[in-house]
Amino acid sequence: MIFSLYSKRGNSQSVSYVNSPIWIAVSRGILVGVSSAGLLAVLSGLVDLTDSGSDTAFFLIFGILTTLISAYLARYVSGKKLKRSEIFIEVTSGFFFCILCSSFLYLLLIEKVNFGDAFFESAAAFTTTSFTVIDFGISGRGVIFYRTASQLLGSFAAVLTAVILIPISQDNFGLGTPGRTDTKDVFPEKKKAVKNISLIYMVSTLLLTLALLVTELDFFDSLLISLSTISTGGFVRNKDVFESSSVQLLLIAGMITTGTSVVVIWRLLSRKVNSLFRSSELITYLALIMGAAFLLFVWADKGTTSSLSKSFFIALSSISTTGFHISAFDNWTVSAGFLLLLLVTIGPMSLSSGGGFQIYRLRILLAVSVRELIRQLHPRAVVKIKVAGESVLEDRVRQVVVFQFIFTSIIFLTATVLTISGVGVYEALSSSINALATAGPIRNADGMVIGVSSFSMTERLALVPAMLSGRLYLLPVLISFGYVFSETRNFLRPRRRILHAIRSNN
Amino acid sequence: MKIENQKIVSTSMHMTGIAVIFVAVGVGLSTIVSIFDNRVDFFQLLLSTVILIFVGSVLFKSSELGGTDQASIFTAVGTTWLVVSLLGTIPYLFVGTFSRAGIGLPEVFVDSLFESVSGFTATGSTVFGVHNSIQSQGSGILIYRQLTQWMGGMGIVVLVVSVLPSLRASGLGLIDAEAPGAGVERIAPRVVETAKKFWYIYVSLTVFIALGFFLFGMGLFDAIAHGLSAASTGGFSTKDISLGYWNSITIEIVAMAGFLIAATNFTLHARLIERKRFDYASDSEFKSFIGVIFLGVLVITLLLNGEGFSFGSSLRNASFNVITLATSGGFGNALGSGEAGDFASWPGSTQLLLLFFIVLGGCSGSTSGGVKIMRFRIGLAHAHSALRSIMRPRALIQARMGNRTVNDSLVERIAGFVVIYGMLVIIGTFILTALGSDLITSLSGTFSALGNMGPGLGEVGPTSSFVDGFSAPGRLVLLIFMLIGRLEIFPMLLMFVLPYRASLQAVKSKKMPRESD
Repeated sequence: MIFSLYSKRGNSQSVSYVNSPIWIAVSRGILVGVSSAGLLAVLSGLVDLTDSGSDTAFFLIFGILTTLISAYLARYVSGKKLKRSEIFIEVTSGFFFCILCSSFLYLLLIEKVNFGDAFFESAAAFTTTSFTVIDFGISGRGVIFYRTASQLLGSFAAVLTAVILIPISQDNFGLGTPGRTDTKDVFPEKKKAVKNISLIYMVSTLLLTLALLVTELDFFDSLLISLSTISTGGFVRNKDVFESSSVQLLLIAGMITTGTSVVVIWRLLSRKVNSLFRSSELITYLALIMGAAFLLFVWADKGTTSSLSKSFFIALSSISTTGFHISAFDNWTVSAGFLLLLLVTIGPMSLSSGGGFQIYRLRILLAVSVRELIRQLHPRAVVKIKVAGESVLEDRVRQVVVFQFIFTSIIFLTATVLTISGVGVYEALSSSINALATAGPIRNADGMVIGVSSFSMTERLALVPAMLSGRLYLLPVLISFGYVFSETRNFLRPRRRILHAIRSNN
Repeated sequence: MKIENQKIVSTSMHMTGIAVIFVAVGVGLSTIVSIFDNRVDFFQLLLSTVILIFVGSVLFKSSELGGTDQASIFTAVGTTWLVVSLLGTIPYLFVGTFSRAGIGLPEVFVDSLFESVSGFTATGSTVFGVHNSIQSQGSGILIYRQLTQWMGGMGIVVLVVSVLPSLRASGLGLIDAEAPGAGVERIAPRVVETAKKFWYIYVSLTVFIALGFFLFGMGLFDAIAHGLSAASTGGFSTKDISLGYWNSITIEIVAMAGFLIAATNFTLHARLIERKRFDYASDSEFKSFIGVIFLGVLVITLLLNGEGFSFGSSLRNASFNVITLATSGGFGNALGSGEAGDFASWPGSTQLLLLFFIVLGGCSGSTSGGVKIMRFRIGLAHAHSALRSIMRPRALIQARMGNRTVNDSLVERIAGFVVIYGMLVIIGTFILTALGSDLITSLSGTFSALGNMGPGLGEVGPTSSFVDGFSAPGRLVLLIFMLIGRLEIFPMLLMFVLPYRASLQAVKSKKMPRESD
């Protein structure tokens, strides 16, 4: 129905309510989401050829069909320029329909999987959350590659959204901020941003894959693990690989990289090494990793090299929100569990692949608290918020405060739904924090990993909105929700609907 | 330190002196009560009274008012609360309330200090328990415990301001630094009158609640003791299982009504009494407060009912515990551990909702603790307006609360407060877990201490002792958080600014070469 109405574009008399910018945004999102899933399916089909090739035909048919249909339908979607808030809707619907499309693929390719499981698995993959409910033990390479590569696609889309759409990221790294020309070499325009970020993803994945090949891993496993690391997805088909100390060390390096801002990495690739030492956010990030690893090492009480590297691995897996599963220390403490939850909540640097609150926002909040202390002593003082010597716009400060408010509210709401469904308070809080930060795994108070497969369907579905919101830095999902709410309300009130249509015609 | 007319010029010392005298009066009253209880603890309480009067008089007489800038105000308020809490341990130490086999003097002191701070901050967390029964204590020490809450509930500084006309305009700053919420509304032209009116309302409320308890079956002593506790939304009881001892719906209703009145902005009460204006229905904070409580009671009743409790029992326990926690009342109605009213044994969903009420607190300008409804409302309004302004970038959208536009500077103040509050919760929980408590106990304990709530979840439920949930260092951390929470963070954090500046100046003047040199 939507598309048939779009075909009437150009005729101002027949423009209907459905032909609003919001519907254009939704339609574009659907097309982008479905075609992305299709293209990924084609690629997975080709990868499946290196194995038995049993799923290749299915992947190719699915991929080519969805891509072609999307490309054909794209002709009917208006090319109208959308506002930023409408692009948020496009991004959210794109993500959602990509997840939906992929879940059909899992449903058709994997035996004994219901739609709920397929949808959750797909959501976990695209939101780069380290949750899994499907047993991929007997699946072919194509399916496993699809599951792993969808993480990279989700992560890439999220970083791109942050660079292009999220105001705070732009301020942080110079986009659109007067007087900060020093970062314009990285993202001078959208196309360049896409190109540079793609390059960063490709180079880092390639380097990590090659490095992992030096260990006992074969090429396919190395590729899968590096895709999971760079995307902060955390999915692996064999968890035993993390017991190898050489793999651990390489992944530590990989996770440090993945939690680092793409701007810093780009500078490093451009041989501007000095800028690394100027990034106070990077210094905070590294300090947090070292502090957390030290505390875990002390609490682990073993004092061996393997314990030290394990401490770093667990700390990094949490703060970078990668979520690689590794067994807990023998003498796990409650404070270790809380520390990991804290790291997951904080998350890595802004404009990195990771989720969570992110360090730049945290630094703004710290500055807000210091300002409030100063204001208590000097009520009339005008105190500017500064992070790393740079003033932060008051609007952005407010957005961070709102972000914090919403972040906490989503954790609480998700945890409440989980507890109503029967999950314990600790596990519910841990699950909702991990879902919102797109991290994982969920650990109980003793440090043991709890599989999401032990959750009921309602509990899993309750986690999905948090995962999606967290991956898209809250704003796009909330704005979309706001639009859906207001449009539904308008639609249910005929008078408003007519007024809206008249306004659209004018 | 400046000395003029042979007196030390220090607002902190002057105010602390008179505050200590007030505490001495409280201990004096307890001494009188102990006479009616076969003189149990009489001499110890009498000695405490004498010492406190002596210390208070020395501090008061040897000092006079000094600076009244913000830093001095914070130092004065912070010092008053610290000294009063410390000296408040004297009766407990002399009576030996917390001495028991197997623990040394340091832990006895920590327990006494914990009970003293919990009392003055009207928190209601207790270190009494199975190992040390409340009911085995004498009436004198029990009424002293209740009086600490009552004095702290309205505020020791408000009490001081009401009897110190020399404070003049700086009195409002002092009350503001101590009072809960984002500012104090002057209800009389003079600050001293404002302070007196607050106390007048408070005393009347206490009398009414005590009368209610007495009429519905409590003995006179227990009615007065619980009246003092309910008006201050403290939560101390004279019985081991709190109101559960009476197992009476009417007594619970009186307590709930008392809590609700005490957790409402006192300015609204003052308007009703003074100007006969019933502004409750038009006050958006009050409406939200009642609305949230109603919703909470409804949801928790349904959840408990769904868990197999009868509807009547679910409604009774949900109402009592939601109101108790939302108003930071702190009484319990459980008949024992694991019984229907023991919310620590309720399903996880209800516990999480109760945790929300622990954080939320009551109205600003009341005796309740927590973050306060007003801050939440402004936070919500701000989030709503921020999201709307992203959707409509060209529109000028301001946060609104009720019919009023919320000032940007108020939003910033609240944002700062909430951020610091959150950080303190994280720090507190982290330290407590590192000291060996489990996460839910630590988290709820920190929230409870910061919000001056009383009970928490996990091992510190309504029928438990804080000795069971936290080690002695853990309890020490919690009592610091109670003080920080009672003074709404800033006075306690900034009380050291003035001494720091003074010491910095002293160091500088030492470094400066003398003119004669």
